[in-house]
Amino acid sequence: MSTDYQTNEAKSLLRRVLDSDIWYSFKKSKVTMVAAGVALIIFLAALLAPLLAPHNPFDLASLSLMDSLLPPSWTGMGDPRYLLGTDDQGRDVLSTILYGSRISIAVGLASVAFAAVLGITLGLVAGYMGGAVDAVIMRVADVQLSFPAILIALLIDGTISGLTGGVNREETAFTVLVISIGLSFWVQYARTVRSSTLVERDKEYVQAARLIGLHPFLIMLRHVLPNVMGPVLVIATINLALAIITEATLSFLGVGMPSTQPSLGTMIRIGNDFLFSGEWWITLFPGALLAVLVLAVNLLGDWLRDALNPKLR
Amino acid sequence: MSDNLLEIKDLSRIFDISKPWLNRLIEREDRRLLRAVNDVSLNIKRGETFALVGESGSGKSTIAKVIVGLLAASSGEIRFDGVNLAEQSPTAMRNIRRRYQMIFQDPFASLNPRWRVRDIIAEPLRKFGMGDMEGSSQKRVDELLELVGLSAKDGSKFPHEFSGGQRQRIAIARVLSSKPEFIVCDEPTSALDVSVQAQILNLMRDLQDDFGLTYLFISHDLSVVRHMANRIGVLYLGRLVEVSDSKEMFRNPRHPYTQMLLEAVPDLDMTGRTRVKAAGEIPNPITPPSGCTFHPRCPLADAHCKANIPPVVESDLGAVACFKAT
Amino acid sequence: MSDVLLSVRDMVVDFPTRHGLLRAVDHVSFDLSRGEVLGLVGESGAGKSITGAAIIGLIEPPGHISGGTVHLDGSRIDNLGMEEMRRIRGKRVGMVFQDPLTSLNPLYTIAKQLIQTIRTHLDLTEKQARARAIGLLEEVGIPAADKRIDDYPHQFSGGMRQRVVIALALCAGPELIIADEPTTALDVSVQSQIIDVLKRMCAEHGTAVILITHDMGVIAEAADRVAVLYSGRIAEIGPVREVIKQAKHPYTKGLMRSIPTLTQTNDRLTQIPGTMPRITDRPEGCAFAPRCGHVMDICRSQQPATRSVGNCEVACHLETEGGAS
Repeated sequence: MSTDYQTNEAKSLLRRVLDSDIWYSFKKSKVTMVAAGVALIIFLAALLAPLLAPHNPFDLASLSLMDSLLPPSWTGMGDPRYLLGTDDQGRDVLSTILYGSRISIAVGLASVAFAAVLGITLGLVAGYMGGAVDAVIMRVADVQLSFPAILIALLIDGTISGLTGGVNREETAFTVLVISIGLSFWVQYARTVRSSTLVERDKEYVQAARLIGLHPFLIMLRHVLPNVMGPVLVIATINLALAIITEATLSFLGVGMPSTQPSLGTMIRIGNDFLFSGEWWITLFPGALLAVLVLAVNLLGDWLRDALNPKLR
Repeated sequence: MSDNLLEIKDLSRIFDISKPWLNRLIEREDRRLLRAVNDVSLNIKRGETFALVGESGSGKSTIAKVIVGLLAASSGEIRFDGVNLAEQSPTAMRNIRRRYQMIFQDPFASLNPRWRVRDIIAEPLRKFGMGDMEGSSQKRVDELLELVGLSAKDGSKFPHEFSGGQRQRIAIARVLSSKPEFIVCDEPTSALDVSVQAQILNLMRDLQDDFGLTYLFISHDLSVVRHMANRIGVLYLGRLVEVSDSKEMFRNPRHPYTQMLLEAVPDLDMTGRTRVKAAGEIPNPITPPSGCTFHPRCPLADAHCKANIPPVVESDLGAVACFKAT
Repeated sequence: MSDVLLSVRDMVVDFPTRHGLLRAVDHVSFDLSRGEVLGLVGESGAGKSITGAAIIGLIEPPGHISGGTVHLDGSRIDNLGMEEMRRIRGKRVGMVFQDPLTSLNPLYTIAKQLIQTIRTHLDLTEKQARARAIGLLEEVGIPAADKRIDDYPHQFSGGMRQRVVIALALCAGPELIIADEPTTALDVSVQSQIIDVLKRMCAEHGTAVILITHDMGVIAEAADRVAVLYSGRIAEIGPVREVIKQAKHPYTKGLMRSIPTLTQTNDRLTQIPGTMPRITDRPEGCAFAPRCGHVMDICRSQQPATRSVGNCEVACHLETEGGAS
């Protein structure tokens, strides 16, 4: 009996997705489809970097300083083994980009997830509880909002690095980055979730749940949360682009990923030192990939915002 | 005495609508209070339908919310089946809470849009531990759906797939799932079309007969109230101005406000009866008039009415709060 | 001929969606005489508001009139451009909506809005326009109109605001007013006052009214004739008294019986089973057939044509096939 229901529901889920307005507006927008395709290719390439990359840039044994600073192979002066040339340590730029975008995307996703969980929780609690709890949470948010996010990230990064004394930088860099970027982006989630929660809280379905004595925590989790997730999804998508950029900025400034595990930002920084001596390829390729990735994710975010906004449909 | 299921004594609810503390300090303003419900006392007998009638600002919805515990009372006492709700322990409240329920006005807001109908109806079952085994709660939900005139297979749909009337049926099924004795109905049909309103009102009466339910029926529509209620209480600006038997009230309304409300009901039979037209509008409840709050609109009011609040006088015919009532 | 102010013929309003065309209004025809109050009554989704909006060219795109004609005082108006239509609205056709706040700009005083509207459409000086505005406010029953005219909309109560909106709709001396649920947002005791004002003002100014509402009570109080809409079509149209007291269409009959009244005695209300079909899955044939107690085979396959029965026009196969029985 219950399995009967379940197969029905599984079927109807697929049907619901294919029948939904979101899927329809996705199919209608060529730009969005291209952006989604590009983002998907970059994500897959990053995920499958060990399989796709011709070299392993982390394998120190395979590196040779003899091969350093080789230009792309098609320029005629390069080495056919290195399609996009090599950097100052003789690492293949193409392989490093693939591995680097992996790190960039991982930092982006993890910090967005961290910021979202933190922001959603605080926003829900502030909106549903109201009163003093609300006042405290939102004042903290206001204060934080008056500083640029990058400054907050720098501050937190600096504080953590200072506390740990800078040792084990290679092992902690990832976590430190995720925490500092996450902490600098939670406010937007909290504010959005709070304002949606204020609306949902007074709706009659929430009152019906209160009436049977359901614990406030369960009401927030089961009733309010699913109904405030729409805008969160939009923010998360746009913030993913922002988080990737922030990571790149921090790495460019030298407080992000170390050169032994270069992210796209780290590579741009390394290449920056050689830009004026003519070795343009070290910066250009990671820079271009970063720009394309961020643009694609941003376009997806814009589309999602419009698709979820009933007024624009 | 024991045939009263619900007893309300001197119930008041005051809302603090003042500006934040800092604004008050700077702008030198006093606290502003809104007395939404003012010393209301009433009893609801087991098995009857008691209707509360009033226009906007009368406090009828506030009373409903205070009774079911969605709002706290500022003062006064609510006894459900003889026990004072304010004095119960959380464990005792859990058992009592199962016995009363509420039907809301807007069926488009009262069902969680992300939940399947089956889960919406089963939620009280789960909460009160009435359908522990997966199969038994499933069966109960199917029964409830059929009871309110839907089919068991509707359970796997989402609320947006239903019309307003069908959603109100789902809301009624949810309310019935915990087998309550007392149901507060807050304007249950005012968001529905007339042809659907009749279906829902009939359904509610059938359910009352089948399960011996007691209703507190809140409405602004006198024709609907006349059709549903055994007894009627009329509210004006948070005060109960008249309580009487339904038939008696329509035959012989005693408070001038009740008379005005009756006159304002459109004449669908087109009898062409001449009517005394209603005058004025409900004052702002933040700054209610002195004395009897109805005096600015009352054709009978005199100086005495402006200065003094009329007490509720009980008699065989019911209760009325008016100096001029005969 | 000149007695007919507004003539709507076979009007069709379509909304293109990705599921295909949604036909919100399906071949609706009616005439309105000068000074007459015509009620458009129906359940939500019956197309009554869209009919009203279509007459004055206020259908939100991508919806559009895709068939039929609308003539105002003999000249066709459904094919006019935006600018010409705007000139007709306000000058020749006034509007009253459910929520007075949608018609009034909260940032300007009542005086400013009234005078501006008057001077847009009539050749009057500021002073004359103000005098006219005060006169109108007095007519709609606003006490101390010469002082209150300088107040802002939020300083009026709900009923007073709706009176102001009626004055605003009338200020350029229109021939027709379209009132969409003008009393729905108001309290019972205020409702009847507003109906009275609307009725009296239109009678005094000789203005015709299309009164759109879901409330049969309002229709009984205010309208001369009534058109009952069901699922985008007119089920029945005729003088109010006849439609209410001797309904001919099974839907109207059912509707009238399902309304609780102050005089009826039976315990159970007569109910119409089911709900009105959504416009996405309207049945072939008569839209009411699935809910109708007198349904015949022909009802399921063929749309009923509109027939004159006495003073009324009814779209029901019973009036043609079984009319004799």
